[in-house]
Amino acid sequence: MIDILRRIGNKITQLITYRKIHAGGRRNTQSALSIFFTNLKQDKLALVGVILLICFIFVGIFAETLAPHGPRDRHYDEQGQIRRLESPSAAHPFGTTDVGRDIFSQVILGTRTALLVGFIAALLVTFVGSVVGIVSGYFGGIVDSVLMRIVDFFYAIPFIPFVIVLAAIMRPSLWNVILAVSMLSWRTVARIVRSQVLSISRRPYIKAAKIAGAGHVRIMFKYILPNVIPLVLLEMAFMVNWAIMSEASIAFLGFGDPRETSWGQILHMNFVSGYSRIAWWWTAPPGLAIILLLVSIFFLARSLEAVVDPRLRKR
Amino acid sequence: MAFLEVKDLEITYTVGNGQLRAVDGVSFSLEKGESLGVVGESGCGKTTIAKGLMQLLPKNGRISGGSVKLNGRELVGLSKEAVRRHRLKEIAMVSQSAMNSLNPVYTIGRQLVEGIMAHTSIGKHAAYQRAVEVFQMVGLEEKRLKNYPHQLSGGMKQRAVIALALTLDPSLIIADEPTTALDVVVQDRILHRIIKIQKEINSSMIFITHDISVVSEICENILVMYGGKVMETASTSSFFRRPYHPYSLGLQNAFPVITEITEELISIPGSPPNLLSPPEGCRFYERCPFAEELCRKEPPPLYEAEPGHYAACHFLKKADEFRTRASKRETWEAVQTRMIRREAEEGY
Amino acid sequence: MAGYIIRRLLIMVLMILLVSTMIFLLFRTMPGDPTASMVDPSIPSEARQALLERYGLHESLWTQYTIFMGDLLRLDFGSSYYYNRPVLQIIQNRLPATLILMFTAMLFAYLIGIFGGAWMAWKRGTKLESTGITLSLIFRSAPTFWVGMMVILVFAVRLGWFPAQGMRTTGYEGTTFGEIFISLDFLRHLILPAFTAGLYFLATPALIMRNSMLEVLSEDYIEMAHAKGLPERQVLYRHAARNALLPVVTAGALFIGMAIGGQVLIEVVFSWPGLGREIVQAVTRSDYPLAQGCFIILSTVVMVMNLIADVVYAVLDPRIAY
Repeated sequence: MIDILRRIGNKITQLITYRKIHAGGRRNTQSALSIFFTNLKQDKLALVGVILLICFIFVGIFAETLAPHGPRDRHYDEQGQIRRLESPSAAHPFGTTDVGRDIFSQVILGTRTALLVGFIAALLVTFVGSVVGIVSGYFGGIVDSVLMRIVDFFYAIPFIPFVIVLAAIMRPSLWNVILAVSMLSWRTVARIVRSQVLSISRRPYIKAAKIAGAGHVRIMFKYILPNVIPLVLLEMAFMVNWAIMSEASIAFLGFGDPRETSWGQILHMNFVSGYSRIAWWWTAPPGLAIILLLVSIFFLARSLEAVVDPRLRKR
Repeated sequence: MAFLEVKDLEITYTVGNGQLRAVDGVSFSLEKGESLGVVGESGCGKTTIAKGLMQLLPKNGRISGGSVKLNGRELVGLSKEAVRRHRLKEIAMVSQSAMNSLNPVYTIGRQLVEGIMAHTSIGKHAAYQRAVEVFQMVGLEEKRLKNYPHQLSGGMKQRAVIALALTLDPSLIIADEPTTALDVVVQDRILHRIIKIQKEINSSMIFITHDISVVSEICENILVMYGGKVMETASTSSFFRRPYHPYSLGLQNAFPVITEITEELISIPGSPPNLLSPPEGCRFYERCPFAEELCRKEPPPLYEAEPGHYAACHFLKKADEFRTRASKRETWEAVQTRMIRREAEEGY
Repeated sequence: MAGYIIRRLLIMVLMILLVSTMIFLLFRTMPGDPTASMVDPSIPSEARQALLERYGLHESLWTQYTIFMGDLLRLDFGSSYYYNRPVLQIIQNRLPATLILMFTAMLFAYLIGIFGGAWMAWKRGTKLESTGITLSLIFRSAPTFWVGMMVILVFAVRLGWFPAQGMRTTGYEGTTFGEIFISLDFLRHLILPAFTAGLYFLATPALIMRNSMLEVLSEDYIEMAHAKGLPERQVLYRHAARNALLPVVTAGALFIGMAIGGQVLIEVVFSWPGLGREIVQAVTRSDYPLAQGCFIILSTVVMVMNLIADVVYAVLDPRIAY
């Protein structure tokens, strides 16, 4: 069992291994993970980011246990009156909504939704975008032109209006939201990966591999993929942010999944209730949560940038 | 009092957590209208001197000592504004990558006029006329002034940059490898044009290059640098007739002579010293075939080998013997063997 | 140059047609009654029959498509279920509001962003630069609608400096363009949403300008500009910033597509009567013709902006051969 795990671990490390190949043909292998960790020790902000992110993930996983109440539970006071719009107190650290719900619990449960949507959408988007980018950049010619025209078309479509229109024709569920977000966002990844692949494809060792008779798939997997993975991971980090932000926006507009608690959803209820101008305790926490989560991912992304671009590394 | 007097110039870079002294106690002087060729390997400090004279050092560099007097006026320690006013008007520079020295989004004419108007109060029209004048001097047509840089060939861009340097009749021109990026035919043409112009307007010139043969053709004096220090300095004729420093002897070997094409070139083995922790004694000790214990311990000052001809070597008296030995391949191969042996002893 | 513009225009028209086709297909595939996308299901049946005929909804998809495209070219987007007026009319009503808000915000964002970015690059390595970067990061991480809500909380409700919503105070009458749009009342209403949108737009040009400047500053022609003895300010703006602007413009074009989304959110938060808010309301009310029309127009706005950005880029960079 351990043996299998070790082999899987090796394979993953191999995949992440960032090979710097000099023009002369010599290979210089440096593990991306090791660069990442060295940089992490120096870059305090990145460290803060990672710690914050771990906290968020922890909260996300154990949300149900950590939240003191259910998101829809109404709370009554001693006289049997609903606790409407109460400002923060010991019992309700973030106060209550206009129908007496505990905001703190909602925010905690919202963490899980944010992380889920963020990572799944990002994974989807990155996968599709990278495949398109690699194929397009590697094959060039007609394949490239066709694929890039398709990407151009997707670029012409404004993001949120499109998602809104999709919401008109699809049922509001979390998966549909993820799908809606993913359908357009892959275009950015495709373009970025493609330009990276274009520059790699021109390098002599790729030509050498082709002459040696290596098949296309083999070249793409063995030579190109390892060199774009750091960039792809970096883009994925940004995509996570984008996905979380988009989901929040969609939910805010009222097109999210009403059965799920998400930060955008909380703000939606806040806004339509009309009390957003008064109940600052209702408005502030979800937004601050979003900011914290996204900022921590940004800091993490910056240290990933150091892996991709050696100029940014801290010694 | 010479026109340009540089005394004990020191330029230091702050690198990581150390101080790198790229120029360590360099002195030379230049009369009005004279030309000086500065030669040396990459990293010997010659470009740093150029930048230092123009006060164009990057943020982590500074002049840490010495003096530079132009026409009696001390340049080190001047205010930023005073330095700015000296540029182009008194000291003009033609840099290595002239191709990229021109801003791609403005026409050439505009860039020349801009320089003129930054230092004088003549109108745009007069400035443009001046630009036409200098273009004629370098052999470019007036209509090229209306072109953008990308519309010119490499040689033309180089000539445009030279013209730029001439616009305000500077008393000192610093040319930092101005022809390295060009093909040899164009190189030759431009080099001769530079000299002709220099004589016409009677400016002093410092010509920086790693190509010693170029210096032999166009400069009156020569300064050989290595590891941030001056190794030898003399008039060009005296230098090529009788070089004294072992490094100079090595340099002469490394350039092909057309009468001996069948011979393989003899190069100097090894690489320049690490200036973050420079050697105690002579900088050339590691690679010198004639090095002795004294060389390792004591850095040699510039001794006068002949009138006006100086070399930084403890053993100038043996120069004749050195010259004969240096022309033989075995001498330098022995250096290689010595270096390998030393590495084997110290390294592992 | 003219040839370049014409070529891009043609491509743009093609894209608009493609997007419209996509919308057409999307709405025809939705679950439930596919005719609901063109004909209001709640109107009396004879009227319905007439409309079904009109739009060819009993016939093949292809016929429907040709009718749809034909209508589109005549700018006939159908009739809004909710307002009972032609969609085009509503769009004409709402479009100016959106455009004014968008342009004001972009002007604000780009001016401050570009100067800020250039300045941050100039001050590389100092504390000011890192603070600037961290601030930009925080702004990029804050959802724009949330910022809007907070801005309303602070500036409109607590401080009472500006109105909290809408484009003009209720009861304000104005008929001419000037009276509606160039009045103090309008400007007061414009400030908060434009400011919020501006904050959202700001981070991108600032960061890109900074990165671009850093690259440009290490170029040789900057050293030459210094060697010519040009004053610092001239080097920074005329030489460095001018070249650094080019990537900002290209990135700006791409950004606009995303920016429309922010525009929608801000219109909703501030109840600004523009196209963005309209499309949200249309979808919520299942007013499909209006939603379709709004979407197509919004896409067109994005594409026109992209075209303008491309042209501006070609003008700025003489190396582009056209």
